[in-house]
Amino acid sequence: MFVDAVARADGKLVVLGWSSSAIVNIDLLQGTTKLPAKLSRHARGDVAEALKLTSGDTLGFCVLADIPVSKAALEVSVGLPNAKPYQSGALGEVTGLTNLQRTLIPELLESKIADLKAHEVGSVEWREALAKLPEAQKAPAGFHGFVEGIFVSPEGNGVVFGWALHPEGAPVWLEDELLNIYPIEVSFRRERRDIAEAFKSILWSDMEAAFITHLPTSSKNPTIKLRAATSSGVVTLSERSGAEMLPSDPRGVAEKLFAIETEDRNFQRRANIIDWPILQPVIKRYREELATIVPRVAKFGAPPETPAVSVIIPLYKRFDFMEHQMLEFCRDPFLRSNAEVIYVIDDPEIRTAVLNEADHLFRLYGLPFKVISGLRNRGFSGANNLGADHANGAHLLFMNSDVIPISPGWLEKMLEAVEDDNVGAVGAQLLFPDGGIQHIRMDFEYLDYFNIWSNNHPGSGMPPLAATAPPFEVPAVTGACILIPRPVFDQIEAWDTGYLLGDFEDSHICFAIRAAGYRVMCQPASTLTHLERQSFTGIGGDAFRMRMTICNAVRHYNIWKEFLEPHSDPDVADTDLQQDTDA
Amino acid sequence: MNSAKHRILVTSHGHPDFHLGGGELAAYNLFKAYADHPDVEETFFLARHDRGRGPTGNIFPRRKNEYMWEQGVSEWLRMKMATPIGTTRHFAELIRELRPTIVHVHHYVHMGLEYLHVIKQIDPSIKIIMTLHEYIAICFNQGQMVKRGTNRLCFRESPDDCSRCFPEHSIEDFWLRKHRYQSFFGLVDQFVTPSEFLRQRYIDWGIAPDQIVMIENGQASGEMLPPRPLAEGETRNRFAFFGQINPFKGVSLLLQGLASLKKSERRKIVLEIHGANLEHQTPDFRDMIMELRGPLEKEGCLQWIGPYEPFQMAGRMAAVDWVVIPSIWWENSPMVIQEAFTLGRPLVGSDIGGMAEKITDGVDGVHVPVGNAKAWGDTLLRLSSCTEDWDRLRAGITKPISYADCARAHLELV
Repeated sequence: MFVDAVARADGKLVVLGWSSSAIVNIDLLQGTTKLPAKLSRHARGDVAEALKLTSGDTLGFCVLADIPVSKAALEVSVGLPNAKPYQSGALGEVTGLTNLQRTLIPELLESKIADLKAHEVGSVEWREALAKLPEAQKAPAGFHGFVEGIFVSPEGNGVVFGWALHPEGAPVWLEDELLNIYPIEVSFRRERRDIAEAFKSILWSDMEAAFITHLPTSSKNPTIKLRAATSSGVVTLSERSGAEMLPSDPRGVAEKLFAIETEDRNFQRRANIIDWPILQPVIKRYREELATIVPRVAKFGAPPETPAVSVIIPLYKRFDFMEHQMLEFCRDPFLRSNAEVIYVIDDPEIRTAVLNEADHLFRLYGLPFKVISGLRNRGFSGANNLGADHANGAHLLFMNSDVIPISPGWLEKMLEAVEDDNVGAVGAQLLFPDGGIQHIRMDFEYLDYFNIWSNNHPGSGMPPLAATAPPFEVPAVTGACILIPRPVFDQIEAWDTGYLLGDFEDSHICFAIRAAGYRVMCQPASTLTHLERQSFTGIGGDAFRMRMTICNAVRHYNIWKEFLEPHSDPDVADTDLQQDTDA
Repeated sequence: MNSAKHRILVTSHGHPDFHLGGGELAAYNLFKAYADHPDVEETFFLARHDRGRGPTGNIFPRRKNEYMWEQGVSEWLRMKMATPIGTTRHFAELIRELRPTIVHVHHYVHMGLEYLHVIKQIDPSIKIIMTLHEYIAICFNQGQMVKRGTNRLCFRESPDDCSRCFPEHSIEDFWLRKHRYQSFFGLVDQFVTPSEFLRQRYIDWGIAPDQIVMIENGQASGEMLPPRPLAEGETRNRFAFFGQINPFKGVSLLLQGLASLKKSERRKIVLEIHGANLEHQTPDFRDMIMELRGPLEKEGCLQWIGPYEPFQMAGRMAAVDWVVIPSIWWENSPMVIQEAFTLGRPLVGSDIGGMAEKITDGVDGVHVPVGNAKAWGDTLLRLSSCTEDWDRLRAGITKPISYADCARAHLELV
């Protein structure tokens, strides 16, 4: 047997050594007094190798005792069963222990880990406590992890994702090259079945191992370490250098982010802490860039100089509906003399073709209109706002390109419904091509599976309301056809452009109008056909769209909680669907 | 009656100089007949034409007051013009130049619906009369109102029904198609159909009943042909088919019907096919017809005579007793029915649509269950066995209206 070191460390007296037999008993003596001490054993592969033993697993020993009051010399007594104890004689103390020696004494580190846990991760105190822990070369059993990827946003933040397996509550964090600390607790976590399967012998293998962590600041080329404080010391579970730079447009960013796997039903939890912190500044900067682009305006003929209404229609992908709308517009005398028609090209790909078509349509039908080209895609809200910027009407009628009037008079009826000063928006009755209701009002429902509040169109597929039915108040109307007086539109500061690509802007604007003290109405006397299915043929795959909707629902909820909860708004009577089968 | 005289432009999807279809002939004959009416100052004819160089949009003269228009259709589902300036410039110039008070539209196929709008844009007081020749506005299956592929009869359109025939087009596409047709048809002052059956189908589709009248196509004036002289012991056993040979016209039913009879029975019958355009049909259809035709021709009960010019019609009908019209689609008012009646030949026709309407079973002809080859065989056999039926049915024929009658009836509408 051999004593390597006697030292005082962290308020304890420590004796480290090895013995060629693991069954020896070791006591700590001061004179004839046996000090209360705890013996533990640890591996000493080096000893086993030198002595040509098969295993060194328990050859090392550690005796741990409180610091004795007496200054008398210390010695160890080693006893084998049925043998007279051997006494070492006075041992010389050394000053302090090496880090390697410290990692051999778990008890010694436990209090330090407790100290670390007592402080806020990343705080000065926490860092001081961390400094007292030795760096371990190897993680103890049960600690595993891997940094799978890092995305860095041009806006200066980023995300790290991967997985970490560790006992619940263990101090685990991410650390960048500037020593910024991100505790694993702020991450989005979810189960990883593959990890659980690979480490099934570990008690906590079923934990939510996957993590996605938002980095509020990040260099362009970060090094991220996944670290843990363990009873063996501080260990780096995984390290990754370099990151993938996210694109600069919201769609591109969303496509990258959404590809980090997360079940749809967990996506809502993630959106607030991961996706929005990345998306929001990207959307903001993109919007600022758009504001610097000077749109092109093409005028076809001369519309009324002071129109009662500006009809604003964004075009995205398909534009063959223009002619169908034009056929209806030009046979509506009220519209011809009281409205200006503004098309907004929201898709650079179709700009040339639309201008060509516009030329044909004007030659053929002679109805004056303007075509605004934003030169970049702005989404539903942005395109509508661009149209509004170029509108001279006392009212703004926002209309989807796939909404086709059925007969003249619809616009006049919508204006009648907004005559009352306390009405801030009017929607129309929209029908599917088969004649069933597509929209007469919008309300909201909580989807348990996704944990989001979603927009709902009650009455869908039912027979239409009679054209003679009076206008009625509703919680919200669709943006596919909505009339807003210009002053109200200016008061609520236009369509909100903070959503990702599109979704929820219509209920958002209705809530904003209601929050400003106005009512929202549906005018069933204005009945148009909505070829809704056609609108969305241009947007990416299903998974992308689902995640986008969840993200937007989360934002919508954060802003309009009070309108969504409680579900039934006492101010708005639940209008019965008065069916008119003769209609 | 207006004191000012009418100036009438008749438009057609083809010129009979090049296309001898029923619609083209009806349009052209009416153009001629209008000119002879005392209330008419001048008449013009505009026919779509293809010079084989694509739809340039140009208009050029054919002869005095007759024009040809190199227009086309770029999208058949919605019947969109191929060359916008052909309509917004060249056609508009023609309207300004000719100053018609009436434009009688006999078709929009190959030209696009848009020219209707140009007429009203130039002068809203110009009256538009439109004659509907088949169910094209209602049915995308070549306006036949039979199901695509199976040729089953179709009774109604709806976006759902139609997109089952054409799954490559969505329900929304069919809604848009109908919407577009109805928008343009909204510019028409008066619709005319040559059959009550077709009129009713368009009323079901959405045209107001008081906006659409039935006026039969006019026919050349003239006397009935004498009965075909019979040799001793001969019967009224000569049948003739006149017209296009395509899957909707039912020629194969006649051939299958004959084939289903015994050889001894067939010997009593002679069927003549005066048919055109078989060469333009699909190879499958051509093969099917050729396979049926061969053995019957060899036996002698079938004579495959081929296409004819209008002037040959009387001569060819003189040599037969009956005219057959076995179509499996509804038809409208097939020209051959009026021609046969004009020339004094009873008809044997399918018992649906325009055929059932124009041929009165037991009065001026005989009905056969549509699509039933065996019934065609049996009916030809029955009718060929005697002469009395023929005499009675010939006596039952009412003389069709003349070109002048037809023009007069139209002018009473305006």
